Amino acid sequence: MSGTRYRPRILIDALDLPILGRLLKRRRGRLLLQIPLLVVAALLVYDGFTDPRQMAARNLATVGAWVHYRGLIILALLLAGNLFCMGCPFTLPRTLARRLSIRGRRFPKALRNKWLSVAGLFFIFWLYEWLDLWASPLLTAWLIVAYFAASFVLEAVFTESAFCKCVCPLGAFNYTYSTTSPLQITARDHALCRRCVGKECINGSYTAQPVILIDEIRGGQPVKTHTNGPDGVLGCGLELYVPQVRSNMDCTMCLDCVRACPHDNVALAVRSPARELLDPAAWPRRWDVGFMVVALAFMALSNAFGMIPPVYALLSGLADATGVRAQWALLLGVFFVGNLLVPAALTIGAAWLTLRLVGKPGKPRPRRLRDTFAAFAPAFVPIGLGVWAAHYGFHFVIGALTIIPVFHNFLIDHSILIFGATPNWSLGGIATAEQFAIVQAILIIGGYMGSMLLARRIAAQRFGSKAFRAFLPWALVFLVMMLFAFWVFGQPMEMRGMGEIIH
Amino acid sequence: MSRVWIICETFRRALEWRRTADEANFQMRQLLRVVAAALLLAGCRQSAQPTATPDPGIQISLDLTEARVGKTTLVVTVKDATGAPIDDAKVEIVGNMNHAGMVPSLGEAERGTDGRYEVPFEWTMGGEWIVTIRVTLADGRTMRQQLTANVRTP
Repeated sequence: MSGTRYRPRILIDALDLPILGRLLKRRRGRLLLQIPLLVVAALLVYDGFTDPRQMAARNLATVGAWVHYRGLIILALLLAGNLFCMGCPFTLPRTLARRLSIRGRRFPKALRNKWLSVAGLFFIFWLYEWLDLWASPLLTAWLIVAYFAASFVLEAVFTESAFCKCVCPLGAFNYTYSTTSPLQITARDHALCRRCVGKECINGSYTAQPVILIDEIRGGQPVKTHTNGPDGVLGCGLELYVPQVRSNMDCTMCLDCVRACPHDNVALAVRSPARELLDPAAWPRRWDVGFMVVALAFMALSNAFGMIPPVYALLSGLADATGVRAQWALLLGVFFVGNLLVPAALTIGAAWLTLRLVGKPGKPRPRRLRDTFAAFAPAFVPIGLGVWAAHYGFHFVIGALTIIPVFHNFLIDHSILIFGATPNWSLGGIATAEQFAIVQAILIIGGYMGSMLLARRIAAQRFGSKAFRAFLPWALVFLVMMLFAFWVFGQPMEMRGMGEIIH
Repeated sequence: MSRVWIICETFRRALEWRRTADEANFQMRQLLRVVAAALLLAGCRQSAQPTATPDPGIQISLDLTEARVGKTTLVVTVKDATGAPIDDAKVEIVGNMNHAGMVPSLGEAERGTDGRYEVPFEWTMGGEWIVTIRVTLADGRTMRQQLTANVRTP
């Protein structure tokens, strides 16, 4: 990667916060988040499997997953960072898996990219609509179990946190939007990293037998040493090297690097949010990473589109036109077009048009097309985040308090009556849908403006005096996305099972 | 590399594997204990709703085919086994959306006319609703019936 190295000035290190910082730096500090989330996941799975009523509005699995998790994840990414990956309960069985595996092999090279993540995202959103996951506590519980199983199996077989880096759809979402987060891992003193002998941030400080590493020699004598041993911690599971970290992409904020570093040279620094979106060197020139970011922005639109009346008319119309009645096939077609084909066509088309508008006459070479596409891909982060926040925020805001009677009901089911025998089912949201509509508009417009500004800056960085021409195709794409988002969110919500629609 | 070293190293690795396997076995046993406890707990679970006394002779009907978002009056018909109307029951309706995070709608009527109970109700959003009708007779017996409604947006 070329370009000026961006190193955030460490004005505030979150790890210097009293109590919290010290707890997070401890060897088992991550368990502070992981154990509560594991308990929550276990509760969701338990309620999803055992509730005899199987009513989505009254079950912890559906309320917890589709209302609270989705809403809180957006808040966490905006206000802090990738907290869910930091506290991911799915990685706890990995410890067991690691002990069972003899020696992990590397994930196949052909799969060591983001294409599986994109496929996973596509699959999850398609399943969500086809099987009406939002209405089924049982299926939601199975989804959570499937995540545990996939994490366990992949960790047992492969190294380099293959599940986290290359497969997990939730991780793909979190990595993408943590690029706007205000916290980032960085080295305090890069000169110290250059002198570091063990590079424990990536190699880990764990060794089966104690090993003494010499940090500094003066006069032929070691004056500074440190010891790695069985009490050490593993290095970055995703093989990110701290001095080279320029982005939150692929960083799970597990803080293993912090714990492993013998020099206390790793900080969780507060930075300008979305700063890395302007750093061209922070983004690899790859189709898979760029397409993951682009596809997520379009999936935000299609996921919201799936909840409004026009989608039912579309599916019915397609069924009549094609004669295909299988809802899985119809949905697959609609999502393939909306989540993959249209984003690919629009963005590759915009990249091609950009090169035509600014470049020499003739067919743009594939590598230039890829580089242009990859350069503008980060500009899709703000608009994608705006739409996701408008959608997930809506469900969270109008249903935030429903967890109280649902949990109360759960306790009553198990004869625990400390809060009384009758849940207060009137508890709903912290605002009405009409009140939140204003916030939705702000989020969409804010996302759109962010994307426009970003694309304009990227165009100026890459194309100099021809920046405006380069920017035009992307401005058009963002305008279309914003208008579509406004149209979708202006429709009344109407959640119906897909089986009802296709007659 | 001497044979002694090979033998010692093999022995050491076997011990290491044994220690690792023991730890893995311990963790597996812990996991199985947790799963067993969860299964036991699940067996003790009971619905929070009081059990209705089914009476096949009581007929409860409610037409939901024209449901539209907004305030409305739902008409529940309650009749006995001979088809005679029951007017002294209490009829309660709870409507839950099939999507999580929605507040239920509630309505009730304490008296009927000619077996018809007019229950004020509000469909707050379009979509699929699960409607539970609970009828409490004068003698205290309760009957429950669950229906699905597809509420259209006007």
